[in-house]
Amino acid sequence: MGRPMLHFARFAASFVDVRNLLTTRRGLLHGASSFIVAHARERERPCWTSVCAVLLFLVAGCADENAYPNRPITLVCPWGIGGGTDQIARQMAIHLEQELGQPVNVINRTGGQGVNGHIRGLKADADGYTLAMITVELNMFHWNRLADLTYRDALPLISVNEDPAAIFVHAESPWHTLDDLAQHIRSSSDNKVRFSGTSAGGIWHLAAVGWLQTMGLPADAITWVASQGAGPALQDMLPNSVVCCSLPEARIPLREGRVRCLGVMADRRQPAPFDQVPTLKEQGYDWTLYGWRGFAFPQGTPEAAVRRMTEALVKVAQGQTRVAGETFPDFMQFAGFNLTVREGDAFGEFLAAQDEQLGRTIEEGQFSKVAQGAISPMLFPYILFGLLGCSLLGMLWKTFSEEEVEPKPLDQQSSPNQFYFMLVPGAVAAYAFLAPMAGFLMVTAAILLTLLYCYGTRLWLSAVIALLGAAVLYHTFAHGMRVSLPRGWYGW
Amino acid sequence: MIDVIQTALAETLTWKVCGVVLVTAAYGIFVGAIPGLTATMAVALLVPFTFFLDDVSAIAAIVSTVTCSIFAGDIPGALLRIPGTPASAAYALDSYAMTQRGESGKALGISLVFSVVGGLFGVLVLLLAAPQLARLDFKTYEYFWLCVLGLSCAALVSRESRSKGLFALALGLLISTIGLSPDHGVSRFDFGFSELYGGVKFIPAMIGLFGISEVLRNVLWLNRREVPALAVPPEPQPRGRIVRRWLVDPIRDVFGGVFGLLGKRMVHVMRSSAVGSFIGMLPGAGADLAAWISYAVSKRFAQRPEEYGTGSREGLADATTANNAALASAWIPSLVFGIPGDSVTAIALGVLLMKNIEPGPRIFSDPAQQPLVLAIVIAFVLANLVLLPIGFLAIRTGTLLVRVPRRVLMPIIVMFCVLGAYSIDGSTFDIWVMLAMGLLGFVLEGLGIPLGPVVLGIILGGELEHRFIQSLRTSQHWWDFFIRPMSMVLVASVVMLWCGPLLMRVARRVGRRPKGN
Repeated sequence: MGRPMLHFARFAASFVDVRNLLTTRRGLLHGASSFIVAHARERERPCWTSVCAVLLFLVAGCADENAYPNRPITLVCPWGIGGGTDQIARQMAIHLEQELGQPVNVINRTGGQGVNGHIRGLKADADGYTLAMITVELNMFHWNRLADLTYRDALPLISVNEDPAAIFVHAESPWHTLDDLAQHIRSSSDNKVRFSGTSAGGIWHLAAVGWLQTMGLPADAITWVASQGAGPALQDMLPNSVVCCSLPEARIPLREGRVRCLGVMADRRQPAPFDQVPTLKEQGYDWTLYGWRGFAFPQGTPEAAVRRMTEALVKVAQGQTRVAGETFPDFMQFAGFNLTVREGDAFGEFLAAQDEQLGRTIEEGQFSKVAQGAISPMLFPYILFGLLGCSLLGMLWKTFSEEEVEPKPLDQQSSPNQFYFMLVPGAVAAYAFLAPMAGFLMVTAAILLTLLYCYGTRLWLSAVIALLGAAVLYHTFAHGMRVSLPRGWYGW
Repeated sequence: MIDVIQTALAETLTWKVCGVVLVTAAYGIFVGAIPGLTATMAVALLVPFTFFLDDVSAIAAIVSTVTCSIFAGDIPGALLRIPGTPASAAYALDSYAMTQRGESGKALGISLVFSVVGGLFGVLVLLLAAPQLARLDFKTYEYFWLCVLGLSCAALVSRESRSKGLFALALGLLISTIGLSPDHGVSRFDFGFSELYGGVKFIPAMIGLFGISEVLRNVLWLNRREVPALAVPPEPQPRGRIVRRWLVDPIRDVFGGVFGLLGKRMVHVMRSSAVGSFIGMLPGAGADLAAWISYAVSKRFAQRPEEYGTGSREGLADATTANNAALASAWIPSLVFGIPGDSVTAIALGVLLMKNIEPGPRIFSDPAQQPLVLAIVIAFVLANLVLLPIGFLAIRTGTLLVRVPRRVLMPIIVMFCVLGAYSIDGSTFDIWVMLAMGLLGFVLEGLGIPLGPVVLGIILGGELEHRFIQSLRTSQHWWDFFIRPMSMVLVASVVMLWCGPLLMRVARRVGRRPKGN
């Protein structure tokens, strides 16, 4: 008992002077080497207790509660990699990382027209380590009854970008002003004009409908053809179709002369190449719509974290930080995004005002019903259910009609082991439940140990593999791939 | 054109890409050589890593993994009579018989060299055929029918019965309808989980279907004696100096006479490669089917068909050529139409989409994307070249590779699956999705229902529905779906696919009656 305890103490001592051991790559090496050295000196086989001690220490991590922030921050982007929102999020992450001195990892939680990402970001633990990127769609979810999520769930920190929507037509289209187009929409009730630019019920669809409403036209005066983003819509444009989308996506087609812009939904004229385009207000339609992008914390985040993060965000947005010689405003300029900064309360008021504006448009025009279209959303699934039924019938018929069912080549020597089988779902479930509570390393090591041992590996070998496995996995994913692994009571 | 090639070369022949190819080649060999782990699983587990690589490296990683693991599947086939991947099943008997005769080195040498030759032929087909197909002009209706055709192929071409294929397909398509429909703005089948608004995410689903389900299958029979007796022939005692012992003799053992055989069977190699490439091009049909068909063709035209199954070099060579030839040409439909050729390219397509590369005819005409297509081709050439030395090493260490204990591997693979599913966007829900898909995959495999069509359904479902609804919305009459000439051709193909065997049976019966047999 005495000697193992000695190892234990020696090993523990070697950890004390290395702070945040597990967040450094050297830590693992250090721990392992001191363990090996200790044993080499005693010239004996590794024994149980010391293996356990190593295991515990390696997986427990060292929670070091210094000033905020003292560990990596996750930035949740609700849109896909490579898109405009993602570009801004990633650029901001690089600058924040420099300013805060902690890694800022961007994850793209996509899908559901942005619902998933917004929920993930805004309903996360309010500890200041999850920063949510929020976009204009935040104000649509609850009106469209997609999710019980409003701007009130967000603690708005800063908005960095505002770009108005605009209406584009093909270069060869017969319409030269908005009035031409409006005239055509009014007169053609049986052969409706086709609009495109985003999915049905998306923000640019709403923008177009808002414009129609200023003329007293219903939302179904046009046909909305869903597209996967504004890029493909502009690409596939026909001379008699219209695209409604935000300005940056249309910059290149406009410059190349492939499309014409009939009007921007802004309060004033926009910088080149849109400076020749009149606003909707100039043409007599009282309608503006801005797509914006900002950053927020979940409600209830500690005051200190909010203050520090806001300070950092403002500093980045004002161009006081440089990464590779470039400031954040430089990037925005280069990438064609309009840098408009609203801080804290100003951002909050803007959110409230826009929420009301969008709500009015959606409710008045029964927008969600129109977005659904005349074709039932269940049509396609019903066809599939039909196919599924047919195939089941076919399979049944085959089973009954063929008397000789080919026996599966079973191994006679042994029977299936249900216990082994159940361990796998058990392990996955255990990870999903426990990792967010007890931390990644501890849970992973415990699961690996259990599985290995139950499958018949010797216990000490299982322990070594579990230990090494957990550590290697941690380093591969957390450092190599910069995934924010679940963190628990004792750190990772 | 010259500068496109230059860009592609500059992007591909970097230290990073070459390093990635080398590492993934070793990984592919390892996974492929372990009986029970398939090439598809190797790629599915690789996906979370490709997420963090740049486009070209990601593609190179997938390409090199699959090339090497399809070859490595031959190693346990030859040594244990257990094919390492399904693609090696067609000729496992032959290579095992050769091993029993004491020719294991030769059997694997043939596998290796003919795999490389077949692989390079497939690359050539990809390079030449894809741009031609991309010239065809498709509109919404045609895309709809093309999707239907691709999915039908996938459902029908598998070796299981048609109703099972259809079942798998419908199931995959239904899974794809979960979540918010972009064409309606309505959420379907979300069972109250807001996480499902975005649909069942592709990567957790893939890792579940191919990773967890295989682990489950392996684990269920874990207490079976792990590795049957190795058929290792009495190797001659190594003699002579170090160079001779470690270099000259092994090389002679593996490659001796193989190139002679290659020269003699050039015509057969061409035929097998062509068969393999063609099968690979069909959506849904992959390397395993290519190997089976090429083996059958080879047997039919063989001089000594009775040798097939008992250690025929010819059969082995032809089939192993075909399965590697199918790999590259499987990329043709996914690049040209966005309809993957097999489950590996289905996963690769998902990776491309995630990186905002939208495959389609435009990928061949858009000067910004042309280098990418060439980069895929170069990656294939690189992978095949790397395969020669790495494959040689693998053959020499083959007995070690196939003996890695599964009881140690399985827990580690489970953790990789969990982390892979989690790491895409750090959500615990994805782990549950992966687990559910793993159990589903296990049950389906147990019932003999192929997994390929399920995957294709999940990936193509959104596109199919989008085109379907778009066509319905823009069409004035129902016959608009059929009247364009290209549509008619595609519809006819679909009808032929589904009803062809039935019509043939009827025709045979009618034809039989007068003869009176």
